[in-house]
Amino acid sequence: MTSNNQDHISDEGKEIKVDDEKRAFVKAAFGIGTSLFLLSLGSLGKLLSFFSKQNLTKDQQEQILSEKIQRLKQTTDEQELQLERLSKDYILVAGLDSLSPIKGIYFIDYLMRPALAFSDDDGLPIVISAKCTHLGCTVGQNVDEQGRILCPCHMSRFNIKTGSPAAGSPAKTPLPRLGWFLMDTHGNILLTQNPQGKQSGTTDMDKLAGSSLYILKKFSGGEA
Amino acid sequence: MGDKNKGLKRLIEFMHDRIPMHKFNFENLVLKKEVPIHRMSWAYYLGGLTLFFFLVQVVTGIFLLFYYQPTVSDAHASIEYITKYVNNGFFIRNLHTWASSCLILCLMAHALTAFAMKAFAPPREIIWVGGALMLVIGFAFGFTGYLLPWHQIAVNATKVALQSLDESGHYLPGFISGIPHYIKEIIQGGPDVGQATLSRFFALHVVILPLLCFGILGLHLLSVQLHGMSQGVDDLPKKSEKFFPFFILKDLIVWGVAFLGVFILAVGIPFESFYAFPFFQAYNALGATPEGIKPEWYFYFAYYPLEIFPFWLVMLGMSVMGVLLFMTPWVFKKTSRRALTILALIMTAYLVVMTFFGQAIYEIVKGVKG
Repeated sequence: MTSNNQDHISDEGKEIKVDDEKRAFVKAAFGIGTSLFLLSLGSLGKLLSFFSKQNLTKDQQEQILSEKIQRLKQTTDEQELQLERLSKDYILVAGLDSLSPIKGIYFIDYLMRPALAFSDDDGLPIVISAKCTHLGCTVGQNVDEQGRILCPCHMSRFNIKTGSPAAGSPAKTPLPRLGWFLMDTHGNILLTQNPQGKQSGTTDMDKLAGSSLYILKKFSGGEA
Repeated sequence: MGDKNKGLKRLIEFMHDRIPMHKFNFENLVLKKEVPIHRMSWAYYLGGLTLFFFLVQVVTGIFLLFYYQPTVSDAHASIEYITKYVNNGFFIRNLHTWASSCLILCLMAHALTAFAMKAFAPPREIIWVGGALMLVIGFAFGFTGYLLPWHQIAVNATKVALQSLDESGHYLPGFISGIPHYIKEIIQGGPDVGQATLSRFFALHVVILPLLCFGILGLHLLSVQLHGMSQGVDDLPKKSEKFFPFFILKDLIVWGVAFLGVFILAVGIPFESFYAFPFFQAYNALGATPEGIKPEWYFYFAYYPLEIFPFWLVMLGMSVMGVLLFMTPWVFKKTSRRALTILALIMTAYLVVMTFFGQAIYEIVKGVKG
């Protein structure tokens, strides 16, 4: 340790006098000062240009604006979905004919969460939540050979018919089923299924042909 | 009444010893200030280096504020605008991203070395607790900043993190089981991660956390100046060097080299080049979550255990570590620096293994290909 305020021991263990200290400090301070000045000269101009007006070509301006409008439209679409869910008692998901047993159709449920619609072996809809019960990722829409869909975040696999997670999946609870109904073009409700799976109406596929799939607000409590 | 006065007197004495303002003079802070020389001396640079990266973040963050727009429709486009069209915008943005990682790395290294050097020993408890708070704030900066570009990985990783917080409530007893859900609702601000979340994260990232950080950092730095550098080793160091002018110059050299390093990284390597492109597309609320969503590397130490072990076990471990972090000055009061160094090395090994090999361990344990 130092013996007093005037002298001290350097890294090499030599005694350094105050005069040497001052000289070393002035030299170093000068060196640092000069390098800082040069650095400022070099970089300040460049950095200040960060704030100056961007010289964009016509194409660039067009591209920026079109991308901006596209994003604004997407946001508007999402907000319209929200408004629709607040104001309507039932929402169209898709036509029954467009449902597929191997690739689900994404839609947003009454709680603004993702959901999926498939068709079952008998041609009737399967409608389940797409929000993984593990940590909330959106599960994939493609059905594997064992009839399961995959959550890409932590590899949980869910059976689309029961919603149940496969053994070994991080998710422990099934994807909830959503209640739905099928309505024909004349506004007649042909078949209803509640979230518990209870059906009422006709299951005759000939009569159901051309109908559309809807989800109901009154069932939304069971979807949470 | 007598007991009350005694308690108050003890508190005043405690604070007097912890923040000895009578030492706040030119002689103590400048003329007499010394840095011990021993085998751990390199660790004295880490605090300054952390401060340096924090300053880089403040400056580049202010720059980015001139163009960034915190709305779900504009956030992603504004970041793209900065990187594509603003003069040197790519550099400033990339510097902010690289420096954030450097900052967290330095924070961790500073905490681990301060632990090994017992820099929390009385009367330095406040310095340690302040530092621990800033470590937590550092992670909070990382977490909130991650969401701001509003791309796929950002929004989805935030969703998973908030849902994990919610899940933790299931393992808590009685009325406190609802607290994590309540905190999640406050952070999220809506039924799902959306505009409300983005606004909250933005406010936290650019106003609340910096204000908190400035306050705690001020106290942390003031206390360090008043108490001087910690001894660092068990045997009293035989040599020391003056802070002014010697150590400060070396400190500045280290800052210069660090800046050169981060400058080269920011100019040469886009931080995002470590991830697959689809992660950086604008977030799409109506599509599937892309495969391979992960947090930033500095959360791997908590992320991979969550993937591998039961949730309750990890939460228990994290809670114990959290309590230990803040109680370190009292829990390890009588522990030797040798023992502390071994503990710090074990923690370092854990952090390195989880950060570099977490994915491989996860794949082996779960038998999946990531």
